[in-house]
Amino acid sequence: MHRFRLLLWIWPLFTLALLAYGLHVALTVPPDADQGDVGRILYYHVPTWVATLFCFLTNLICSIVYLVTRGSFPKISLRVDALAVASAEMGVVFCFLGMATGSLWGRPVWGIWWTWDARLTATLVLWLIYVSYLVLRNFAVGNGMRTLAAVVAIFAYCDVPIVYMATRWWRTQHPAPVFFGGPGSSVAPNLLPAVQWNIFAWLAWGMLVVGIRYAAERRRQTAEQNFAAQALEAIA
Amino acid sequence: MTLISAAASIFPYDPKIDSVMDHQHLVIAYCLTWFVHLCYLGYVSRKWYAAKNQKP
Repeated sequence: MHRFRLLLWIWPLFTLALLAYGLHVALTVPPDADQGDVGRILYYHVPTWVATLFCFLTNLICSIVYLVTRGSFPKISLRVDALAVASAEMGVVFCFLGMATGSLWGRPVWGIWWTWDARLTATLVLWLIYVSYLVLRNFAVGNGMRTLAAVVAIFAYCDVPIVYMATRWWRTQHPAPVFFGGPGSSVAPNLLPAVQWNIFAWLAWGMLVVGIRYAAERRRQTAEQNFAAQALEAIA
Repeated sequence: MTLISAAASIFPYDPKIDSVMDHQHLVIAYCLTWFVHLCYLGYVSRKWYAAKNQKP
């Protein structure tokens, strides 16, 4: 318990240090040979998408675990449900920023803010589906809502592979994948640290904020359970 | 706006390779990212305090 409390103090400091170093590296590496300094937007854009995918994957896993455990292990199911909503919210924030930074990069480089190509459209649909998931969670209550939300989350995640593969399956305005995109698809070696450090930094930030949101949701669930128990006692 | 102007000075800008719009978009992208994340952190912290002080 003592070690856990120590981690609660160390993790935010560690995250802030990573973010500060990530920002420093992003602003000090040499400019991109083709794009100039505007290419530095990608040092925030790419990590934002990596964090988005991690958040939505966490949401998917938690939703599946919730559906499996909701009948037999109610305590576990409530915990994973809290983690599901926390990761979905963080994912929606990252997804929005991914689209916004992409748009801010696209205007000077492509000459357009937005285009309805497969990658961008699928991404917008992904964001809208997860916003709908959060709206559902806010406007309904109880175990029925949790089950329905878990099912929606599984369907929502089906769009993630489509977003990732869109640049390979269709001709799009969006560049081809930078990572895992086959030979010659990686970032120039001198620019790689800026991408990598910011991926670590924003993942650490995501874990920190999801942790706080998870704690808040757990407290809310406990208060809700206590309220229900007291109401039952009063009736009895 | 003043904050963005102050922040703009720390972002690299070389008139030989960058246009004014390039620089503006670079500054806005970084400031927007931090602004949105800090706003969301504020929202999450508020939720946490509200849940902490919630009476059963």
